[in-house]
Amino acid sequence: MARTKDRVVEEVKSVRRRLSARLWKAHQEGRLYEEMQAVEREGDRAYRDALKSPTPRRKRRKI
Amino acid sequence: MAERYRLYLETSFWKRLRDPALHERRRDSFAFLRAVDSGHHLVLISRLVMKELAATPDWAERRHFHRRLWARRHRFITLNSKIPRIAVDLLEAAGRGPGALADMMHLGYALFGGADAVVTWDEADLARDHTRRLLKAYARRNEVKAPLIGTPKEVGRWLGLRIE
Repeated sequence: MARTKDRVVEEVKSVRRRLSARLWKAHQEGRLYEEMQAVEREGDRAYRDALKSPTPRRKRRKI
Repeated sequence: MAERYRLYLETSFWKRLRDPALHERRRDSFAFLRAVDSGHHLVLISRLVMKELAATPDWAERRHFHRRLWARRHRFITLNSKIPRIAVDLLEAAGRGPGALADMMHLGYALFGGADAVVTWDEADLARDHTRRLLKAYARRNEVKAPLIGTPKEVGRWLGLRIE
């Protein structure tokens, strides 16, 4: 029986391949740790943005 | 008192929570999360997972992952200079190409963070015997605890979590 293609894993792998290429380049240039710091900063920003509301809350009208 | 485990949930685990295609796997993921909550186990996460989740184009989907994480007991593993070193060592030991560096980075985070298990749906590269043996050998050489690597069902079975 043919295995069902796992879309989720394929998506993750595609992102990870790009990330690996970026990290490998940095490793060859001897700045892997610095690149990982940059990746972490980007991840942290994404995390904070995702938890924010998409539209700013409406200001309460003054009575 | 029942043991509380430290579980590193890799990107594919979180992504699975919104997967409409493979219902059984999605169900297993939710059941695993319930078991984590009921056993008061600690979810370990890295900002590398966050970075990978950020590539999800749908905003609502991204928000869903983060809310799921936020709702449980979790801790971020902070980057340390040892983590990239572990990843490169593992990559060399595995004899794999540069394309696997990010995979190894996840294992580096789990090892450094003292995880009991890495939970993933990536059976082709991470949840396989070769990677488990590699990690075990590395951990033995460096006298640290090797985390188990498996799918939610496997990890649940090995650690005796109640997954229903």
